[in-house]
Amino acid sequence: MKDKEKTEKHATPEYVTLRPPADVEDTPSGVEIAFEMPGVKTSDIQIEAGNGMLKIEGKSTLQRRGLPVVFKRSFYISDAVDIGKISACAKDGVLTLSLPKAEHAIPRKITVS
Amino acid sequence: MNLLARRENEFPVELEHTFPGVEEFFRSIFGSPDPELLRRHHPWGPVHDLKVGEKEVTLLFACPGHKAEDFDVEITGNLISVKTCCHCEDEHAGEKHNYMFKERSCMSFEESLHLPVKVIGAEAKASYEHGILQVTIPRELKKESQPRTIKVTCGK
Repeated sequence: MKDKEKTEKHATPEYVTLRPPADVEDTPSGVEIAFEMPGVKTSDIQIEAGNGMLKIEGKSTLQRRGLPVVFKRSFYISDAVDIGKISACAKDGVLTLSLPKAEHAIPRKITVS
Repeated sequence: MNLLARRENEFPVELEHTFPGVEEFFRSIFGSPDPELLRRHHPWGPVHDLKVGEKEVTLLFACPGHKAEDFDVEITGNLISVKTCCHCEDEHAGEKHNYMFKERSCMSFEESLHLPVKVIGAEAKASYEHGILQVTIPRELKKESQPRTIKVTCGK
């Protein structure tokens, strides 16, 4: 068992993981996140949202130390985000995610009569 | 004391001026820093790869968020210069952003590199896709001399 753990620990990595820089902007309708992921095609992007987590992963055509680069990053998301309406757009190596607020989280103005 | 330092230097310029030889002293103890590590701590510079093939040289610049028309690529002899202007500030002028945090830096840059082999600059091609600028330049190959057949004649 120990040996197995050792071999797993020292197994040759298949890729280099990098953390993409991100801008998180609070907008009236929700939150917008822009990730810098150069060399990542739209078909190579995976986005998972659920259980209070948002995970993004993208395999790049770039290489580091002879290994392909994989961009990975995750965020905690609150119940105020409508997971079903999350949309994503990738252009020029920048992945932009729009996380709209859930209806119960949108502030309502109440006029005083 | 000025706390700002040049990005290329690991030590503040002021410190090196005040205590000459301090950089060399630390290098003698800890060695030179790993360029990959420095690049990770200085993510604002364009990350580039250089591949020297048998027939061509390929340069890859990772600069996401730009447009193809923003780039200026010049090749003079074995020197390649890549320049780009960022219009983000002009485009979003007047807009108010409420950033929770901002890690990306969209900025203009200019980088020049000496290529290790002779190239034909006139036949270079450049493309920008998925945030990567790729410049392909064919190598100047030496013309191989044709094999000569020499007839051996009998000497009298």
